Amino acid sequence: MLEINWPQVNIKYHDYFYGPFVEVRTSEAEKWGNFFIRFYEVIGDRKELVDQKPINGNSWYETPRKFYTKWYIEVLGFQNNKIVKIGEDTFDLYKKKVAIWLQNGYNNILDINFHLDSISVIEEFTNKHKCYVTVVSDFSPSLSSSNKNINFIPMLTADEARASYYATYKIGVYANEENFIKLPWDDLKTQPVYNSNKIYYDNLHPRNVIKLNLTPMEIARDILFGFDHNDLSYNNYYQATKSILTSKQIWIL
Amino acid sequence: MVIYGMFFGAHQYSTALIKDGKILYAIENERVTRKKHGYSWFESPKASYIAIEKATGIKFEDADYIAISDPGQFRYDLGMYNNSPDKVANYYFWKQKIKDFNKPIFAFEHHQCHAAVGYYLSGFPEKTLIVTMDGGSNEKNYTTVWLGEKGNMIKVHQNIEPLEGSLGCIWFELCKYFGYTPVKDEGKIMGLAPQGKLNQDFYEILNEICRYQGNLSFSTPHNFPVADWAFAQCEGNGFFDNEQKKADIAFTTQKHFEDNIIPYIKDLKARFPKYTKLVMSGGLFANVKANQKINEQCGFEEVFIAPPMGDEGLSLGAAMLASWKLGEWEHKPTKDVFFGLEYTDEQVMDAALKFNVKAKGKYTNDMEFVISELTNRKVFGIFNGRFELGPRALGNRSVIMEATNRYNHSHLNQRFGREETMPFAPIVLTEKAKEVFDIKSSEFAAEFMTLCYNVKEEWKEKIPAVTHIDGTARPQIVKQDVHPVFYNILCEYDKWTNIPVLINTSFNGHGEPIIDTPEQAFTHLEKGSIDYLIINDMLYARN
Repeated sequence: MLEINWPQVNIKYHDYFYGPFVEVRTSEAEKWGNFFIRFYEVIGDRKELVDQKPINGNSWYETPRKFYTKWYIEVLGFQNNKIVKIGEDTFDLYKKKVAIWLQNGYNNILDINFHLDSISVIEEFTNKHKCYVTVVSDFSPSLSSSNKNINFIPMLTADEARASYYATYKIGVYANEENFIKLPWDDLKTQPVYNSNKIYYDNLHPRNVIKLNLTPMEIARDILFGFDHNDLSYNNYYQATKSILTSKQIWIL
Repeated sequence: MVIYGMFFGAHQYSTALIKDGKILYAIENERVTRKKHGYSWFESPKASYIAIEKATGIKFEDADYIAISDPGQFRYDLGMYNNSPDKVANYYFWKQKIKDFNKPIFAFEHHQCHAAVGYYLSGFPEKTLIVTMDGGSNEKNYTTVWLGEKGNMIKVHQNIEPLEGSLGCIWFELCKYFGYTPVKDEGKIMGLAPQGKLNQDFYEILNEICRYQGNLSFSTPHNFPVADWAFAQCEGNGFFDNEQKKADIAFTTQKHFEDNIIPYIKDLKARFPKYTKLVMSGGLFANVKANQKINEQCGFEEVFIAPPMGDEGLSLGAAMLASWKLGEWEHKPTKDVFFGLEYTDEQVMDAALKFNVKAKGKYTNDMEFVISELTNRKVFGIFNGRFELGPRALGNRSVIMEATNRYNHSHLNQRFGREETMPFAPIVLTEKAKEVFDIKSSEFAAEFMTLCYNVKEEWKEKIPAVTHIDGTARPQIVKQDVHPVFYNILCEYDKWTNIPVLINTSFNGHGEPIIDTPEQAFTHLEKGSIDYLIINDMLYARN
């Protein structure tokens, strides 16, 4: 049998913004050929295939599916004339490093109340999963003095998050001039995209979003704990020439 | 009631016409368009419909009902595909016709139509288990199980995406790595199998891609991409490097298929023990070797495989279902599957004139000459009445030759420019079938060449051109009232040689569909693929 180094597989769950991130690194890409990633949703005792993708060594893939999926991900390789499993992960935050961004804005004025309100939900989340949470907040010095169990930092870039954290979440609300709590992409036909520590907007807005009027705690709870929902196909939605919504929908980015 | 059946699918488009419970026509597009299986989206069954309309004078709008298999396929947004103007025109041709059709339209799912065409052609009156299996469908199911009784069918089980995979994907994807065309050439892999041996590594890879895991369930959901990926890795690692390795892959694939399909069918039998008859339909049951083992090992009294087991049968299945629902269909065994076009003696004579050949007279008037030429290794084309529905040439568009010379296989391949690895199928007189072949059950299926049987030991050396390396053959049992030309020639040949068997292969060149018109038959005569042509009972010789 040939001596060969086993590839390194990194599976991360970044804020569910793009879906799980799977990267395969190998110093012997030519000996391994292609790899094959399969993304499953675990439903009870069965696994339902969500997405699958062949990738080359030293490359990565993010599946479009996002929120609230109980993921099982496996990475297959081919070695010594056999299909071998070179990596797998079942989404589980137990004793994992998790970063949570708290972001908000009202006419460019930061509001600490949203951050304060979210902390209790984050504590509940930390206790549930027994994970190591780092909160990224503009108010980190003030918050860390009163919450010793949670680590606060003022800034975390996407690259740093990808390198160091198993999962990341973003919680945030924005308010408009009428002081109506709303999602930032609600009528701007944009959604926020994070690049390093800057926020900008990209024109990816779905049609007919229904406005939510949730409290900061409700928003934090929905994002961190999830809720009953049905998935709409991302591709079908964007390809449709008119809205395919037939009833009340909540659009989660 | 007049019912047009239509199949709008990915390939093997077809049209059927049933009137007052009787099949008038059922034609696959390829026979008319001359494009094998028409393997592209939205070619649509337009060509076969126009052929039927021309033959009967019954227009789409004159029908009382339309029955469509795979209606979802028809609704696909054209914008999703980069379609040619022809295909777009076809789509709008049908869209307008269906829109203008102000009478009821029956829509049936893909596997329901597979099940129907098998079950209604079998005519089994007893409790019948119906199993369909193929590479997939618009409804995302790969395998369905139906209980049939007195013409009624009830679906009791299915294997469906995204929960489970399909054994069909293995054959489909593997074709690409053999240099074959998927949906068309899977049989070549099956034919190559007996020349190989087990490749254990590949067997385990196939198990990773899809396997039967008990409880009527197959592993690995949506497994086409993973099969494609795995076979690409195999190719990179030399699995397909030479002909022997390819034969080993073929053997392993066939073994894997049998190892998985047989336990599945056995489990079905255990679950429905009162169902003593088995009907199988869907592209995977074109695998005559696996069919043989199912027939021998799964405990059914009788097995029947839909003669049009592939998607070419779906339009007929849809029309049959509609006819049954309207109370017109009489559930009884079919006599034949000659549902295609036929040509008059005048049309044949016109074609002969074009090719400047003259008939020698009725073949029955000079039987001695016919048999003498057969024993001289001459090749006869048979063109008689209406052509068949399905992939098998069953006597009306066939080529026959002696089966006693093992080199006749390569000789025929050479004459027709083919590269067949599968030995040719034999035709055998119904009275002598059990003398030559080990036929214990399912004789009815053998009329349609859908099952293999073991050749009896004492006959293997006598008919080597039709005996596979593993000692099996795929006989067609010939009856006087169904296949008169075959029967007459076989009877006479048997009197001369004491061998009631001849080679029967389909009447077509390499990569072509089986012929349709007299002109196509005369073309083969002219270019020397055949030495003689018996067409509508008249014998023609090469100039």
